[in-house]
Amino acid sequence: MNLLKLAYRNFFRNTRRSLISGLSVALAITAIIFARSYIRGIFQNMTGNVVKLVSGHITIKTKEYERRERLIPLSESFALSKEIYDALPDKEIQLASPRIKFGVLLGEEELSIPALGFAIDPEKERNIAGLQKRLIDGEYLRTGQREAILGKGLAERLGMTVGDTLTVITRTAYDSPTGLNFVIKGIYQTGIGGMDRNIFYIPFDIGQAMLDLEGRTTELVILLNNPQKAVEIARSITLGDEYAVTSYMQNAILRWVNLAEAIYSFFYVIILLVACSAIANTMLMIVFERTKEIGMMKALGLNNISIVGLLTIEAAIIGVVGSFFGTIGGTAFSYWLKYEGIDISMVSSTASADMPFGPIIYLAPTPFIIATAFLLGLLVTIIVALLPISRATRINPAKALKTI
Amino acid sequence: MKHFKTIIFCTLTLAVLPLAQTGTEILEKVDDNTVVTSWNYSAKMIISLGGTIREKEFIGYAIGKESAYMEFTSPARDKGTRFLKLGDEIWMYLPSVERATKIAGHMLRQSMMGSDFSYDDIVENRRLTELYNVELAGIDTVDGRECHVVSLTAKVPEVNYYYRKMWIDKDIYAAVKVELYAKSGKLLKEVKVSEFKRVSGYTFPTNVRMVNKLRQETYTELQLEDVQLDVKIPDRIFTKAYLERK
Repeated sequence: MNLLKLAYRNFFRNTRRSLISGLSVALAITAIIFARSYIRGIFQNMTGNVVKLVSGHITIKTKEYERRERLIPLSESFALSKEIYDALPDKEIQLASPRIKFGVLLGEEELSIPALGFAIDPEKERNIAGLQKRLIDGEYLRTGQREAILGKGLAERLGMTVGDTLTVITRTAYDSPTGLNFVIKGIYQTGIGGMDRNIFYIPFDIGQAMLDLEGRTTELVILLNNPQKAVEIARSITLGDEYAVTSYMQNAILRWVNLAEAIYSFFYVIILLVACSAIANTMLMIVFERTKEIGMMKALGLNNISIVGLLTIEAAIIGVVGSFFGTIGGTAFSYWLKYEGIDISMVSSTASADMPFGPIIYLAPTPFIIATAFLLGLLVTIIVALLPISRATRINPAKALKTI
Repeated sequence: MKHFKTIIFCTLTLAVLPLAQTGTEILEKVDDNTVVTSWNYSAKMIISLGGTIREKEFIGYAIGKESAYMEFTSPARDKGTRFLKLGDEIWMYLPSVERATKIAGHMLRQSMMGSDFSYDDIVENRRLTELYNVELAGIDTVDGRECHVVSLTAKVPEVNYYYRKMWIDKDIYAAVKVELYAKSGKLLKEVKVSEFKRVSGYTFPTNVRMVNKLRQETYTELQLEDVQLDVKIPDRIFTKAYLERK
C-alpha cells in the first residue's frame, strides 16, 4: 500500500514527463481502437455487400458452374424443381431467389462495351439486393416487363438515361445468339465502381426466356433468418453430387479480409511497442536520476522485489492513465464514426465488383475491442518498462550513495 | 542393255511425275475449285452437344467469297435470325431486337448459332495460297479416297489457324479432311467432307462435319440441299436494308 502511495507521488515528481509518456500510450491506444473498428467496419460493409449483391447467405449452383464461373457457362444450369425447394430447411430460410448472370457486349451499332447482366426476381430481391433503395433516377423493375435498371457508370458509358432503349445481345444456354430490347426503367448507384460501371438488372422471367433457360437458373440465392448459422445450414442442405452449396463465409474476399485482420494484430503490437519506447526511456531516466535515492532505500532495507514493484507500479500508473485516456479518445472517435461513417467513395468508385466495399464505411467498435486495447496498453507498458527497471536491482547501495 | 537402261529410266520418271506436282499447285487447284461466282442453297445444321441433337435450317445466298446472306427458318426460336457477310464484316439481325448489329472482335471466334463453326470460319474468304506456305506431306487414303496430304503454315499473321493439314482428293481436287491447329500445335478443329455433288460443272461439298476439339462430345454436320451455282442473285440481298427488313 505504501509502495502504491509512493509510486503515485513519484508520478507527480515530474508531471510533464509522466504525462508525455502517458500521452504516447494514449495516442497508440486511440489509433488501435480506431484501426480495429475501421477494419471491422470494412469487413461488415463487405459482408453486407457480398450478401446483398453477390451471394446471399447461401448460394446453390452446380459444381460445374462454380468451377467455370469466370466463363459464365449458362449451359451448367439447374431446374428450379420441387426437389430443390424441398431440400431447403423452411424454418431457417427467410427467402430463396434465383439469379442468372450473363455476359453481354453492349453498344449502339457495334457491340463493344462489355457488361454483366443479372436476371433477378424483382419482388424477392427487394429484400436481398435491395436495389430499389439505391435508385438515383427512375423506378424499380417489374416482373414480366422488358425493363432494365442500369448502374450509373454503365448508363454514362452508354450515354443512356431513363426511358431509352437498351439493346441486349447475348447467347443462350445453347450458344445461339439471342437478344431483346429493354426500356431503361431506372439508374442505380451502389458506390462500388465495378458494379455501377458494369452491371445491369432485368426481370428473371424475361431473362429466362431470352437465355433459353425456362424453368431453370444458374444460381439460387438464399437469405437466412440467422446468418450465423450459414455454414451449418449450408452443410445440412443435401442435393446430390452435382450441386455446390456454399455459405457467404466461404467467400474468398471475406476470408481474405478475415485473415488480414489477424495479420494486422501484429501491427497493433508494433504500434504499441513504438509508443511504449517513450515509457522505457522515462523509466530508464528515472532509474538513473534516482540512483542515489534507490541506493538509500536499499540501504534502509528495501529489497529488490519492492524496488522493482515500486517502479513497476509507477510505470503501470503511466500505462493506466495513458490507456485510460487513449481508450476514452479511441472509443469516442470510433463511436462518432460509427454513426457518421467515413466516405471512401473516391476509393470505392474504382473497386471491382468482386471486392465490393464502400462507399461509406461505418466503424464497428465493440466492447471487446475497447477492453482488449486498454489491457494491451497496460500490459505492454509494464513489459517494456521492466527492462530498464531491472537495472535498479543491480544498484549497489554503497556506490549509489556516493553518486551526486 | 542401253535400251533396257532407257526403259528403266523412263518408267521411273513416269512413276515419279505425279509427285512432281508441288503442294502450292495442288492448293491452287483447290482454291480454283471452290471459287464460284454465285450460289444459293438451303441447308440443315445438325448440332450434337453432349448427346443432345438440335437441328437448324437456313437458306443462303452468296456471291464469290465476298458477300453472303443467311437466314434461319427453323426452329421457331431461331426463325428470322439473319446474317450478312460483306467482305470481312459480319452483321447479325435478331427479329426480337429489330436491328442489325455488327459482330466484331473476339465475337468472331465464338460459336455460330451454337455450332462447332465460328463466325471466323464463315468469314474466311481469301485464297489459302495467299495465307499459307504449303508443303506436300505425302499420300494417304481417307474413306477410300486417295488423297494428297498438304501441310500449311501461316505466312501472314491474320489467319484463324496457324497450321492446317489438308487431305485433298487426287481426282476432284477438293479437301475431304482438314485439321486446324493453333500456333502451339494444339488441334482445334477437324473438318470432314463425306459427300460431294456435281453441280453445274463443279464438285461441291454437300455434307460437312466439323468437330471442335475444344468442346466435349460435340460435332456439327452441315447438309447442303438445293445447291444452285452461278445463278443470278439480286444485289439488294447483300444490303443492311434487306437484312433489317420487317
